[in-house]
Amino acid sequence: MNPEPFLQLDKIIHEKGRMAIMSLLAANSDLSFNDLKSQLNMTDGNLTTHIRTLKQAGYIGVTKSMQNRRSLTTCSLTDEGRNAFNQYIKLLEQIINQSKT
Amino acid sequence: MNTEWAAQNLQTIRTLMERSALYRRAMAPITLTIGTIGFVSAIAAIQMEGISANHFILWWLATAAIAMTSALFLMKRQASQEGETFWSAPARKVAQAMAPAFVGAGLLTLGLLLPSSAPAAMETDLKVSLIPPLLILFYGCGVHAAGFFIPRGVKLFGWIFILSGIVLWVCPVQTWLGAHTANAEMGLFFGLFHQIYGVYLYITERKEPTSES
Repeated sequence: MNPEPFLQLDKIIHEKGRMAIMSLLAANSDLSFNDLKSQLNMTDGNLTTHIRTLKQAGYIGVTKSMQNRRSLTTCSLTDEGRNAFNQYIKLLEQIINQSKT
Repeated sequence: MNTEWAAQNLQTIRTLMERSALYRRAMAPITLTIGTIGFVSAIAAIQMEGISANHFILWWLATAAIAMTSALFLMKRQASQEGETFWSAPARKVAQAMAPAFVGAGLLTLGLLLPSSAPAAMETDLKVSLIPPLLILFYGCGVHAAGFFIPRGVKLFGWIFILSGIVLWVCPVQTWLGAHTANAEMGLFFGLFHQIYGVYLYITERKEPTSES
């Protein structure tokens, strides 16, 4: 088997928690911190760490606003993040297809 | 090994994307609308005294039809606003999950329209006493099944209905207090409870605080 596609997998997305966050954001224009937390059953600390990593990579944008004197954090995929996620999926499909041939 | 792992990851991605895109923003207005229709219907039904069992059944079947049509309209509106497909794969899954319970409830209720050999007064009391726990229980089963595809407490909401339906079946308050309380029960569960849940969904969607700030 050619190991090339596996080696090309994006190391930032190639982590269970971050992959899940990217999946949800790919399906929604934006999601709040609490929406992500409840859908992924993650702790605040865990989710914050993953969001920070994805933000530093330029894959997601984080917007903070105030509503009723409470902070509302909203995340969305950047164009770069969407491209990286699509590329990641393509590579996964390539790995699967390789085994069939 | 890599192949298996890749297939699993792809499946996880697909599931997460399908689950999360399902009319997330329409849930609060749908639940509030269903609750309002149920509540108004119950109030109107309570005003009408001395109705027969068949009138009671037809009244609540009509209410269910209006509520379902309104929910579908709101879902369709959200789908078109966000450029999504209305009858998408996740929507089909939810419909398939809810269908057995809803169809079962509908058919059993329709079956109660058939005449029985009991005297008219007793028939009314019996049928009107049976319907609320039956519908509440079946509705809870349907909602709980949908909860596997929709987050935000839908499964818990289903459980509340399931357990309440069982309690009302075992302890039929409507039989002890009189058949007229059946409309109040329907209003409580299909009206007020939906309105409370709708308000909860609305508040948690629009005003979510975060610990990340």
